[in-house]
Amino acid sequence: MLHANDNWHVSGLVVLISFIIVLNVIIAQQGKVPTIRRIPGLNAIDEAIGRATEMGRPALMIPGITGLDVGTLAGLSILGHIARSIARFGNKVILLSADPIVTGVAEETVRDAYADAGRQDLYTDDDVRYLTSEQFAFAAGAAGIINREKPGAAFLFGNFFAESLIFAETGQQIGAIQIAGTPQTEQIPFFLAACDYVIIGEEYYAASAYITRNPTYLGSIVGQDISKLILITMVLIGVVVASIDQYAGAHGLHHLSINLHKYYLDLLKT
Amino acid sequence: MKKFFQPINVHEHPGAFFAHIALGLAVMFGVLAVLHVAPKQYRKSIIAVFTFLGGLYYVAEFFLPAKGGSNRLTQYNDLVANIFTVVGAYAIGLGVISLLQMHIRKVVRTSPGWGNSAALVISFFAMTTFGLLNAYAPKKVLLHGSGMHVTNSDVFNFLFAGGIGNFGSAIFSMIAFFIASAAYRAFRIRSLESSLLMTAALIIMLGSVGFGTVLTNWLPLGDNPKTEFWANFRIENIAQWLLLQVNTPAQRGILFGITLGELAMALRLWLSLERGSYFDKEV
Repeated sequence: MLHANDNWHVSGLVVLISFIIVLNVIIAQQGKVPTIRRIPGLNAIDEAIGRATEMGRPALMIPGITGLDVGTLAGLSILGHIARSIARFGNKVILLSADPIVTGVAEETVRDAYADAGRQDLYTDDDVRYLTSEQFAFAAGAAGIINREKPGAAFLFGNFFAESLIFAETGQQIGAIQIAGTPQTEQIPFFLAACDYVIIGEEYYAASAYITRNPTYLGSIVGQDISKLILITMVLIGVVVASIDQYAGAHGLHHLSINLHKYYLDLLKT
Repeated sequence: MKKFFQPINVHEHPGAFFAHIALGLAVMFGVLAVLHVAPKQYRKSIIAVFTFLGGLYYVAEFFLPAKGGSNRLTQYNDLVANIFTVVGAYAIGLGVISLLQMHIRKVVRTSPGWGNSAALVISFFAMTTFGLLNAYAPKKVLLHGSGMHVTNSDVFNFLFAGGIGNFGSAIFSMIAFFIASAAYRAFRIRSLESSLLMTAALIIMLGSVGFGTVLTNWLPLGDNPKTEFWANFRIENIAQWLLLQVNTPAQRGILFGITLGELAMALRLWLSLERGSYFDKEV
């Protein structure tokens, strides 16, 4: 088991970053709300929903295939806002879930979204479907539903693994506009190849802030950006120090070889 | 206390096993009743307290100084993980009920695609039945005579390894075709970005196969200091350079952002900083 005293530098860094994020959330909640840059993939959400509605086809949503972890919660948060827009357009949602707990949360999220838009009449129990927790059985079920129901838009936000391309390619084949985002970096190339818009990296966690303009989320984004600046500075210092060390070693200047690079690598290891 | 939460073997202590299940159900319904009865303004606070305590355990366990990989709290890790597993197990029942309700309704109404639903319902009950029989009476003979000797375990293995396993492999193998069609679209040269992508992909692919390395094997290997510069242009070395010096830093850059995002989201949830939990809705 890893503990704080295994590497106090990293633990201290985690505490510092946590403090910065919480501080910025509190500042934003008190009224100092920042603005954030455009994210094209998220601007396209309404366009995708509009097109699906015009075509008379439902919109498909998949919040990944894992249980209720941080990545899935972020995905469900985005899908909740999308469901609200879909309900406003008077269109139908099909949400496919691979986890029973996620199904319960998703049902409530979609039902609330329809209620917020004043279209409770459109919500049915079949809108949120738990298929199975088996990875490829879920992929087969989802691909079958995509082929049969032919959604006009597909929103894939959550933790995806080897099955990601099955969803994205099936959606592409039936001509759905597809917007995807995942914290699993290995799956991003597959989504880039098969989807119309992809949300990459931290944009995934910034999406809720961008869509809702909620001060808490926006404050959190500022905290993340400040923390990222700290990390980038540390990486740059590490590069300079390692370069000096390498140069000194190669030219016999051992008095310059201060081993700082080792300290920095230890710091960034975890 | 710690022993009380340890898993119990149903064969060795059936009474204790079912007593624990009954107690677990009683606690769950008790908590739900408290949440239901509690005035609306307190519900969020109750949930926030439970969320905070759950997170606090892991934070304290991580930050308390440890010797030899464990501290005072480490011994309770399995216990806390078991509690979360039990809470999650209740939700599986809800998922199964929702799944069966939907598909049985489809079969009864003979809605479009009812055959698929019938297959699901039959498969569900078959797997449940033989799964249980395999756990509690694996050797019991089901069919005997005419050279046949079929036990519960045989039927379960036929359904699991012969059915689910093969279907899963079949779906997995389909990814190869999807990769081919997605790669075709991604590598079509339409812009500077896709041209770069195509070139990089081509170099990586050639660098990974024998045919590719043959193309540049006339260049020096790099074992002679006088000619080692030219070894950089061997296709396998260019491929390695692309993977390690271009791809890996980009991936790590993305990971930095994702990790910070996860930390921020976890903090917001743990400290209930989100105004109106459950994604902006008042609980």
